[in-house]
Amino acid sequence: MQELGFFTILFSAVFTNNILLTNYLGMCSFLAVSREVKASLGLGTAVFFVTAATTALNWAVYYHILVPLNLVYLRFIVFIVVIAAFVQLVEMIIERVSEALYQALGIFLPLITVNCAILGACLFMVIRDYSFGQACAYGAGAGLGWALAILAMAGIRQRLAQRSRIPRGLEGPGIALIIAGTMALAFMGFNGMVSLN
Amino acid sequence: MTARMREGLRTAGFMFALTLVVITCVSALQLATAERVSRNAALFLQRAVMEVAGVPVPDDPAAVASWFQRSVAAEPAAAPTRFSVRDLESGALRAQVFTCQGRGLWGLITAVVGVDPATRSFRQIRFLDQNETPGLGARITEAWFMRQIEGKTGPFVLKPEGTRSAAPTEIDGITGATITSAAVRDMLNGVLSEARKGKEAAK
Amino acid sequence: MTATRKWKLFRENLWSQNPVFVQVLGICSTLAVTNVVKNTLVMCLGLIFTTTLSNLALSLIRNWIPPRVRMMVEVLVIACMVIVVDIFLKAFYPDISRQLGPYVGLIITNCIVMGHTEAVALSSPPLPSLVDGFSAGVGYSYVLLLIACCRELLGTGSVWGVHVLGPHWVNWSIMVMAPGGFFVLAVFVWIVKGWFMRPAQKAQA
Repeated sequence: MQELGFFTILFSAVFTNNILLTNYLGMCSFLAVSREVKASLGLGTAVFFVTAATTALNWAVYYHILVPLNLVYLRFIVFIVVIAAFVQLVEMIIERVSEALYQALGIFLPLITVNCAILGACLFMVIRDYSFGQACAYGAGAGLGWALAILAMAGIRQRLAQRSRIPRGLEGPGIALIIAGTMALAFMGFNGMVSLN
Repeated sequence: MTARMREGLRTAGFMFALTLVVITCVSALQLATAERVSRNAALFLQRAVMEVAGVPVPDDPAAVASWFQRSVAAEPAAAPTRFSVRDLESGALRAQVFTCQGRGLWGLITAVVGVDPATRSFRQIRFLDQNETPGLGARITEAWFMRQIEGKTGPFVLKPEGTRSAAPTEIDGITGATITSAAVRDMLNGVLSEARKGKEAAK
Repeated sequence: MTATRKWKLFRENLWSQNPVFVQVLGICSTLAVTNVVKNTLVMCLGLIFTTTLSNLALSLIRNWIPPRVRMMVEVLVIACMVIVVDIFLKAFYPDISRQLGPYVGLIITNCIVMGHTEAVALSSPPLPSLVDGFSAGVGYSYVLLLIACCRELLGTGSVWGVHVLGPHWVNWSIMVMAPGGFFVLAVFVWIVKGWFMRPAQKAQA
């Protein structure tokens, strides 16, 4: 779309419109993996990379293949096939190139094919009519925002586990949801920072 | 042909067949409903134009379509930005409806605005497309917001939400949605200057 | 599978194995629209349709699926059902379709749908798979509808657009914004796990 700059979109996607804390996408792996910082770092990096790349890829596929051929209604299938193929490709490359990187990241890759956040970022990109540059900014921002949220959550949960007594009913997903809600509240404060005038 | 090749071929064949079946089913459904979808889109625009012109909207879509065809002149014909709504019996101009666009926080906001031709005051605004944050910017679609411009002449300045001032140049913004509110204000002021231009051209 | 076994499966999906309370799965795609009850109902119906039919379809072809492409086949079938729902909504309920935005498409990546096809549909005959899919969808739906009622009621004073709380109610705006969804869901999980499921935990301990 028109004149929203690269960095405005990036900043907004990370903070004010965080794809996890505002749009609720990517919750399943978020709740499951955010118990430890190390795993969260790995998953967050993988999600960032895949989201940024596939948003750009899907932009090209959408505007250069689906729209000219009038196949827009097939976008769900096409997007998810692109995401799955890309993840498969990356996994194969990482496995060949670096054993250490594979240990750190590779195991998360199959998990993120069905991460709602990635498909969601592609769908939002289409709905908001972004240009290619804007789509790249949005993909990178969404991935970065998701990674930031899961890292913060892991840090908080690790601290909580060490020191606090959590009511039995809240153990596990319950307390994670409350933390997520509080983080969402905090991130809402960033709204005032985005000014276009 | 080795067993591995045979299995590979079988896998590829299965995927191909499945994909074909899925795409056929989906495409069939799409073709069957395509006309309905475009009719819905046209109906949406027609209803919005009627509402901002201050005309009561009938429930029956066919009635809406026929009324629209007889009473509304759209110009330019290809991608209309201005609608002149005339009274069926007398032919007098009932309202002028303008489409306008603004830059919201997340994307383009598209709306139609109705203007009373005699008093040059606004009737209502209806949003055709917006991607604003639900619960914040998206509140511009709430009934009170869309109705508050009725009778006012602008040019507008924003006041805090809840002011509900009666002054003809003041409208309430939405708390927490500064950019969206400012975009709507600019859209309305833009329509005002375009309406003035039209009036002068008619003279 | 006998009738009693099927009924047990049905009940489990509604309570003790409820996808939302117990497994906290699949909330992504629907939690965002739970600030309006009407939209939630439409999303939930779409989800029930998807889980039921994809379970059934995958169970019917389960003996022919090559092992290496298992996930891809699941995704393809689920995506097909979701596109059907999307086209149906666009054609017959365009206003709701517009409000739901991209969230209908996100049913594809909803963990519940995938989870149940993976766990049940690929290894069970068609009828039990259908029962499982349907009950999982229903179990998910009633929880989300409850959440939506809370959020819409507290956040706008009305349910399904009908004003219930009178003119002096000050809207809890937080409820229609993002944090509200998290908090309401957390409270629900807390109540169910801490209260209703306590005897079960005591029995296990």
